[in-house]
Amino acid sequence: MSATARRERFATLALALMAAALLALGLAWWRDGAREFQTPAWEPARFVELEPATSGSGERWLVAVNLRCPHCQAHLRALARSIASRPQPPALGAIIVDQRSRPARIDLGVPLAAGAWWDSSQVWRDAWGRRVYGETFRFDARGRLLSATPAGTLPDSTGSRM
Amino acid sequence: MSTYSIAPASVPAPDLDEARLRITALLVATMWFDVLYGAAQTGRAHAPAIVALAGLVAQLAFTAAEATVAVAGWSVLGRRVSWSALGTPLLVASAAETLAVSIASGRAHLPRDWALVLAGPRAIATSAPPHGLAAAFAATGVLALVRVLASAWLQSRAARAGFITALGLVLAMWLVSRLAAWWTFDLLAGRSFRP
Repeated sequence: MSATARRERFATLALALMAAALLALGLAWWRDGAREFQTPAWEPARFVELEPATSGSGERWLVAVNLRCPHCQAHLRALARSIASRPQPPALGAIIVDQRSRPARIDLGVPLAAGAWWDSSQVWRDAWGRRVYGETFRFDARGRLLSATPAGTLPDSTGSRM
Repeated sequence: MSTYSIAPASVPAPDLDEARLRITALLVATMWFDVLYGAAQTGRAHAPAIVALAGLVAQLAFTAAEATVAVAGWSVLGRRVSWSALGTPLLVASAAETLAVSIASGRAHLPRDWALVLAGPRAIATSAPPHGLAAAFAATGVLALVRVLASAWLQSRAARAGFITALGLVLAMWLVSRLAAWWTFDLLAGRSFRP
């Protein structure tokens, strides 16, 4: 086989491999997106209480916090600062996610009126299909989801940055 | 009596076009370093020179990979083009992207609308893109289009092919890379500490 033919065969093979890799990636993406997840709803019984809620009559803002993620903890503290001056602030809380064992102690540096909850059965990831740490879930008094916003966003604003 | 027939000395004519292209590529590499250094300084990186050097190496590696794919693409289209004949033009074509990076990093001060048109949505974004589609096309602006057109023109010259054929190949490569970025971003979401 001549060098030219070998080169052309190699090029065709390389392109075929790239096409196969892209196809596999696309299939993985499609399968991932086709999974059905529950709309998040606040049901305390599905989580393990780490720190009790001290206020539960109004809105709850629960932040998905991973204990090894500095961004989401910084977001939680920023949220606490931004609602502190409100006459009727929502109850801020944390859902500790992707944590295999129950944390021995929890200190996120802010008062958590909605409590701190350990997601021991991976509700956040497996049932709700959420993935991005620091997301804030805004629930009404009955536990229905009002909004879910990424870290850095004030949940009851129109996407304004903190 | 003998006669001598002296062949005229033939010195191969220097390929000025190729020399110009290589010098331009060198300048573009310098531009990349400068822009990345500026972006690292704006982002308050710990060691901006090292960050910029790493960025330049990544850019050169990306260009090398792009040239490899382009060689394979041209081969499938029945054109034989050497890797070295494509690598240099591809680096030259990336010059437009240096300006886009400069705008996106806030180093080149432009009105918001101009920044958006030239460098794409990343130039005015205040946070990480919310999903893969936004991430994949965050850099799509006029300068990205200029890069595509420049790349197609330079590749059509290197491959001695029509501009439309080259544009088709470059656009296909660009779209495939965007698709891969979109799907990868979505699949990786939440598997890192990206907020």
